[in-house]
Amino acid sequence: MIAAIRRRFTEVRGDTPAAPMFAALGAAMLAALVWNLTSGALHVPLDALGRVLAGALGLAETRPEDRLFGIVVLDVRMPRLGLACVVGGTLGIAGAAMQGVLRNPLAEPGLLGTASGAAFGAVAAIVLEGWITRSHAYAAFLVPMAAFAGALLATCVVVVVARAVALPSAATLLLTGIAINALAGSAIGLLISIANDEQLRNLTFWMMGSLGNANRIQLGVVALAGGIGGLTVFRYAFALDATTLGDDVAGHLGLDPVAVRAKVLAAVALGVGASVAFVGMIGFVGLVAPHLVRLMIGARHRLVIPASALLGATLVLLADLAARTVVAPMELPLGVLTGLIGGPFLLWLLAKGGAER
Amino acid sequence: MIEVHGIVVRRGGRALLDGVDLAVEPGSLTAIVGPNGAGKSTLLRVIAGDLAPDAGSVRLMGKRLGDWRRGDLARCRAVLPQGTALSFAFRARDVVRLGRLPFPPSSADRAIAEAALAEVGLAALGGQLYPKLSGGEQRRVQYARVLAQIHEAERQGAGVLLLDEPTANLDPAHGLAVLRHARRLADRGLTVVAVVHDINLATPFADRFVGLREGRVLFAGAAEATISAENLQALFGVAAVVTRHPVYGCALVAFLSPGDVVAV
Repeated sequence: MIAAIRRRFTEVRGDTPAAPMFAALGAAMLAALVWNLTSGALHVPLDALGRVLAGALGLAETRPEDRLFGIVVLDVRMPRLGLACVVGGTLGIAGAAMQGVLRNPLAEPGLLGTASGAAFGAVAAIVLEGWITRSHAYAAFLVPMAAFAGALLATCVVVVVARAVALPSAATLLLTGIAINALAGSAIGLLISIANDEQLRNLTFWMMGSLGNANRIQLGVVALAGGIGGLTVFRYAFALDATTLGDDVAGHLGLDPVAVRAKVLAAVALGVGASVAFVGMIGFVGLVAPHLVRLMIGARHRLVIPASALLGATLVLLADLAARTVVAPMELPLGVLTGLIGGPFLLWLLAKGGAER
Repeated sequence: MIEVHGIVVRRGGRALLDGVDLAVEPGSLTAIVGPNGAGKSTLLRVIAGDLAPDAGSVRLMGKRLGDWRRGDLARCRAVLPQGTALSFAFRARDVVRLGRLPFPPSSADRAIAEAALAEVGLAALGGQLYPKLSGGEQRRVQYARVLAQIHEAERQGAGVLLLDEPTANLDPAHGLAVLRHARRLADRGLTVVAVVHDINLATPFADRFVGLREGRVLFAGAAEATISAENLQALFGVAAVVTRHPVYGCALVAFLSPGDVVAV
């Protein structure tokens, strides 16, 4: 696996034209990070941010007047930003993988039931919590666990059913995903109809996504799942290139397209499942990040995958910044803002591309 | 070396292939001809391993198709399918580069891919986006991808090349260039099978013709023995005149509209 990943990076090094784009994406993400760290209810000046970070790394003594800044930056904002980065990166990679596997630039991570399965799990946990456990102490774990289980279960069902009913081609997979999404949507509607007012409010906010409850445990879990998923997808970068030419061609090139699809989908389900479980539904990033990346650096997956991770992270960072600051001290739902920022941006790029053509 | 024995493929109650036998020697180019729906592409797909036959067996280089490991096979057998749709904006050279996928990465990959592009006359268009190329150019890019894959086999003089209508969408110059190149690969020891529609394009280059009609082999053999007015009438159901090519001396075919009298 290490050798396979090193091969991808060697390839990247050989194709220099992508380097400026990666530098730009990295700079954008860094700017979004700094902007996020300084902004909020308490404004942290840049020099204070520098001192706090240097202090945290043991490079400098922490001054007493920076103590409040230190708490805000390191304990409040850092875990939230970290979670924003790993969730955004995971969604970006998942989108790129999904579009490659389904050979469709309009595919997104939710298409194969992963997100709706997670939503069903979470909504079921919220609505049926009273039957499952009397103690509210478990509730904080119950919802993410149910969401994660729902995500994996739905993806498994899609893959197994697609295999059982027909040839496991990209098209049957897509149609099976649509069927499972419809089922999950109906089941969620059923649960909503029996929910009480408080549950309705909870599940509405869960469905719209939020990073408001970020902590280090969540960060660790999502980073681990997203990391394993992302590296697995990256490992199949060349195989994804080949499958976009069709299953037959991939087979002629020595690949097993069905196995490649199954492994990539499992990796996507792992990463997206974990991120949806803790952060809720964040739409659009998975669709728009790889799409924008392709407009910038072309279609090769060994470039698209890492670039989508960077751009996805940047998009979620910016969306979360807006979510925290626009109506402060209140918060807007994150999922609302990703669409609000990503939609017009995509339209602008399409218009620009159209003018060039 | 390709050995096909008793291949039967049924789809929806209809036999697409109905007991096809075929043996292709190394170092030869065999052209499969026949009317639309005769099963030419189906046969090629069976040999490529894309389609499992309902009966019969395929052996490539002495080994049953099912006994080959995918990766090993991909290093000595390349396939040009009939059409390749691509909805992503890969550059032409990236598509050609995919032909190197079966091999461990090497610093020579780039040069091999560029040489393959040059071979099909597209050296200058390597940086173009594949979806924006014309149909014929896309076809040549795919042929270049196949060449990049067969590069090692060509040097070792042993391998299998399967081409499904390699000249479709190509102008005469490029159509001839592709078949001449396939001929050269055969001369180096590769086993080449090509489905062709234009018999006149193939006669200067093919060792053998196989006529396929309704899933059965109607004739198989050297061009002189098989390309005759009777065989072509039986194969296509259209009257034909066969003469000599004024330069190459091989058979030259002219088909006639139904009902027209042959007065030769």
